[in-house]
Amino acid sequence: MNSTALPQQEQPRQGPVLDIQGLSVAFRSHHQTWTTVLEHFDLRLEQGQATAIVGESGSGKTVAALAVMGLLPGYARVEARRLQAGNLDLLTATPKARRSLLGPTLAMIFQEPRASLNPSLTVGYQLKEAMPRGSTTAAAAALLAEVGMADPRARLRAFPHELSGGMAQRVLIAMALARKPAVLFADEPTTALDVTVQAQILAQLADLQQRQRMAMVFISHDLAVVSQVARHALVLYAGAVVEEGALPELFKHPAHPYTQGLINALPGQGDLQPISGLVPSPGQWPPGCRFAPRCPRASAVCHETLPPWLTADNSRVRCHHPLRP
Amino acid sequence: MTTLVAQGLVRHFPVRGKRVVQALNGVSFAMEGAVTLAIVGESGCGKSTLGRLVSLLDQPDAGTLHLNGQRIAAPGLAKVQPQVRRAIQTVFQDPWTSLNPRLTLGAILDEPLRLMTGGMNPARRREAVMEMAGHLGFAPEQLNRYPHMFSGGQRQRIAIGRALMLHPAVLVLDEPVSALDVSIQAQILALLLRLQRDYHLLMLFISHDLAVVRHIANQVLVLYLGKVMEVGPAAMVLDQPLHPYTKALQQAAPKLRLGAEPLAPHAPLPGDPPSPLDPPRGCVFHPRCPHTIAICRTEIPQPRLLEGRQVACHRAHEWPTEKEPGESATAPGEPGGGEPDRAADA
Ligand SMILES: Nc1ncnc2c1ncn2[C@@H]1O[C@H](COP(=O)(O)OP(=O)(O)OP(=O)(O)O)[C@@H](O)[C@H]1O
Ligand SMILES: Nc1ncnc2c1ncn2[C@@H]1O[C@H](COP(=O)(O)OP(=O)(O)OP(=O)(O)O)[C@@H](O)[C@H]1O
Ligand SMILES: [Mg+2]
Ligand SMILES: [Mg+2]
Repeated sequence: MNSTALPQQEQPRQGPVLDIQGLSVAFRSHHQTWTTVLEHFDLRLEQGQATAIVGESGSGKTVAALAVMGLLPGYARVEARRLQAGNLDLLTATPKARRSLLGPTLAMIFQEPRASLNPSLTVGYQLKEAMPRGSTTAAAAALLAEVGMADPRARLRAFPHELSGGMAQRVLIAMALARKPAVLFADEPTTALDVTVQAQILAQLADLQQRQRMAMVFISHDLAVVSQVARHALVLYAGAVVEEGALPELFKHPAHPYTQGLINALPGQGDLQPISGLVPSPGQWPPGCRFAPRCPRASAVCHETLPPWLTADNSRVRCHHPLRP
Repeated sequence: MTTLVAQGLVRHFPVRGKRVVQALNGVSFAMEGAVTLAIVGESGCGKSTLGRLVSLLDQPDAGTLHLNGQRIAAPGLAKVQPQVRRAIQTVFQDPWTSLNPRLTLGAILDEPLRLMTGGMNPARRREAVMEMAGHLGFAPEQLNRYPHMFSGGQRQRIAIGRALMLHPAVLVLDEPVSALDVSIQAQILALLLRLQRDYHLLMLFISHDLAVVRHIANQVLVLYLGKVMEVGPAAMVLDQPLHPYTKALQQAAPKLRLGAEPLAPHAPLPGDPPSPLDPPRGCVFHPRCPHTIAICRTEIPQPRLLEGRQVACHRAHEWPTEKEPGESATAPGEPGGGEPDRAADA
């Protein structure tokens, strides 16, 4: 079941399946103060497009996905200029209307496959719960086969602890795909898996995404993994996108010094060049460009003013001194 | 010069129902000098079990371990002397749980000196702590801070520094950078390379990340279900693998896609590794191997020296690597065999 590279042409459809503009998320801490963890976040996806969100730990990748899914806790504040999924305006929708999106419009798979399954229920039971009402066992088995599970009939009777990490992740992918979502958020779906199993899951996901013309937001801290599943990526640093563009060009010729720094820090290309210093925590973001204190190209202006977006045809960068025009 | 030799290490864990987890099944290697041996393989293949044996945190059921010619581990061997224990230090994966939260950075670095060296006076100890803090890149005022005030990467630096306070000969690192972001991971790898040179450390580096391993290791040992599939100089084992499992690991490792090649290629191996409770007969890798023939199902392949590395595969001789003319092969364990893939570190 290899990826049959379908052309990424546009199909007639009214507008994007996901449209996020100016999303910001803040959490309330004990002293009733708000700490912003994500700002100025834009993402627009057409049917069948796959994009990736890359960034280091704490940069806000998961929070961005949970905000769209409506799964953040009550002490979170979500604001946006526009937040639309399918045909629903999430900013004005009722909680009930939002919940009804989960499954058919929006679905998500998480990093820890086993923690996301109920240990006391069989795979078959949990999978059928996720499928349209009245789905048959045969349909459930077919869905498991679709995500590359060997011996799907027998697996339906298994409990989560009887599955390997890779098999558990396949079950979760099957559950997420059960209602043919328009948009799939895949949050570090292979980080907990071995490389040989990771390769299986990535090939499967890329194949399903292209065959089902599903939009996918693939979240990972691993640039290599991201480059294997998406043709577009956003680079997040300290709660804000610093650069976005088409792959592989973005990784081949990055414009933002942070993107370049991430690539230079990857082992396997001669000399390693660490980025000096640390990522600032939310609440301690510097004024101006947040990467300025660690940036080898920073000048006075970088420490004072947030850089404007510089836009080219297929990409944009938020930097006062980009590496390329 | 430090030498570390493992011969036929076996570790079996009895579990419920009179069954046995064959975590390690006859592992041998030999190291000499300030070199790094990387232990690679998938989850559950026995990497940490091997690390614990070398760290003397656990005892083998069979086999021996020699440090500088002295036998330091064997079944039923009486307690090792404190100076041997001191010579081998360990750093674990998780920088969040491995440090005592009630001690300051200064106290954490001081603790091994305080507990183990009789007779070092407080002034000398303070000097040694300051020196190590400097090596690790901490400012003197940070010595009064507690672990929760440091980031993950800083905490991993502290754990490494603590392990080096008593100037060990051997440093065992179990997935030391796996929990860290790439920018921080690169800082730690650079630090390890510098400290290895300064302290003449022989390092055992456990990792599942082949790119990291290629950067830091001179020698690589590939484990599968507790058995050595291939061991030898990093440049040979990783760049010109002979064992089908090493090849699959190398192919499966995600590469940064910089050209027009298609997205996620077909996975090189189907399925998961089988259970070490019931390892396959013959070659343990045969159920997943694309090259299995009859003999693989019945006979255990013995390791043999082929093109500069030890490889345990019945068919390894059938696929010779393309070697550059004039390249000299070095046997595993021989000093100087294999250079890590990097320019002289900064
Ligand atoms: N429920 C929460 N309450 C308070 N703060 C939170 C909560 N969830 C996330 N945060 C904070 O929001 C910021 C972004 O977190 P997020 O989980 O999105 O990071 P991430 O990019 O997914 O990182 P990782 O790679 O570690 O998963 C972090 O500083 C995190 O501590
Ligand atoms: N104390 C123990 N009792 C029983 N089984 C054990 C014990 N320690 C380890 N094992 C088993 O031995 C095998 C090897 O474990 P080990 O921790 O060495 O694997 P590993 O290669 O380090 O894996 P990972 O990459 O997941 O850390 C596994 O099947 C494990 O479940
Ligand atoms: Mg996350
Ligand atoms: Mg381990």
